Amino acid sequence: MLDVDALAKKCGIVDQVRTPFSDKYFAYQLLKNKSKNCYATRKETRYYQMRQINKFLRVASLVMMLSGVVWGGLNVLEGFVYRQQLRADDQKADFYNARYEVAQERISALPIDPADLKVVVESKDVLNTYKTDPVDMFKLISRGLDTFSDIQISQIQWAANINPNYKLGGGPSNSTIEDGVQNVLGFSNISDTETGYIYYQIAQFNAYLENFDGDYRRALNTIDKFAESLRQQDSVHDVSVVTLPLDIRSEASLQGSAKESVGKSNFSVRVVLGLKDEA
Amino acid sequence: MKRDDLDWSVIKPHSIIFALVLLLSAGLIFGSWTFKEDMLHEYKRNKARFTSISQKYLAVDEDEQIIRQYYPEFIALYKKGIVGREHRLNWIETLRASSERIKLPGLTYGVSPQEKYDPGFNINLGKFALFSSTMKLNISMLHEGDLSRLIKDLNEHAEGMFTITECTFKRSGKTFIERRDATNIRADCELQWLNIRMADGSEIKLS
Repeated sequence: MLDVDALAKKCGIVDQVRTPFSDKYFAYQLLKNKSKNCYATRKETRYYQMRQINKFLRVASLVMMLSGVVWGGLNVLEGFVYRQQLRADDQKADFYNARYEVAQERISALPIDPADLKVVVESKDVLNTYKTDPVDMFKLISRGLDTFSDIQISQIQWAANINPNYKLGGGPSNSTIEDGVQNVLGFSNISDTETGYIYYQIAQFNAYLENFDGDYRRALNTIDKFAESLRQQDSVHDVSVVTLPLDIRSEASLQGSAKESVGKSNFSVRVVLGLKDEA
Repeated sequence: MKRDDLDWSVIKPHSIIFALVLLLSAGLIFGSWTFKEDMLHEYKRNKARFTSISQKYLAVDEDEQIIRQYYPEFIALYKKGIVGREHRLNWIETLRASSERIKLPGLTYGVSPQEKYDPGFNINLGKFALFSSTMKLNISMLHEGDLSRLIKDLNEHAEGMFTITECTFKRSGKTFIERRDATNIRADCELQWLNIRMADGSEIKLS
């Protein structure tokens, strides 16, 4: 047994069903579903269809109108943004162009290109870096002589060169081993790789010992100490004793008189002073 | 629905409105799109012009910075004869004046013709070339301090740039004579007066 009223309420019928019959329920169910056209001919439904077409046309017109307005509006907006930017760019371009022309006029009045100005000035700076004179070498030798007052210098040959083995007194610069070098205290061919210097001052001086009493051992000792004192000074790259008062090498011939109390005390020293890049 | 079934009088107003709206919308979209495209094209063209001009301006600006930084020094180098023509007359005048100021016992000089100079070290000269006039100085000195004073004087007063490449010093006698006009040391020095000129031989002319 079914309570028709309860069923009607479940199905959504608002009014209360007071009868025990189900007619109201079935009528409601039938009316809820739109039934297909089973009887009317095409001619009889054409106005209905035309009404539908009109409805569609109205909606389509509205949608198209809205789309046109929105899309077109966006395009116009974008166009205005571009126009705004191009006007700003135009003004900036005119501003830079005017300044460019003024600057160009100034530059074209110069005797050389700006890049060449830089090259010239920088070249001068490089030349200044390598500018040399013998004053530093003089100071170095003077400092060395301060503690060896019996050493007298008779001649100095000085040169500035990029090659620390540069041969003084002419001749090819690659000919670095000099004639007559006794090699006593290590006259050396200096390797370029071992130096931190960019340029060198090379001096070779001939000296003698004042008041030399014939004591060669003491003379050699003095010369050795003098060379060592030069080596200890700043920027000194190499000190070599080139010749000594007495050539004691095994391969050299040696002669003199044992009775002769005083011989010659001449010797020569080669000093290489390095120049560092201060930049 | 067939064409015969249509009653045009019913759908005509809506059809006309639809057609008009269609045309209007299409026109609106096409017109606005054309406007936008024109503006975009114009914008791109202007942007390219602006970019090109600003790049040129930046290059010129950089050049101007270089000029501001280097031109005064370039002018000074030109006036000193380091760039352009060397000032030989000034060297000689300065040597004479220096010799008098220092009171050198003797000073003789000789200058060789200017030649291209290879300094031996790396130097970027671009369109320029380095030239040098070799000056040989024979100096009679009371003591070695005279040489440093002469070099200092030349550095201060001579119009040009020089570097000393070789020197030989000899003692004149075994004893030191303490008289201002006495010669205790003789020096033979070789100075290179350096000069930067255009490598193609053209003259640098300042207006």
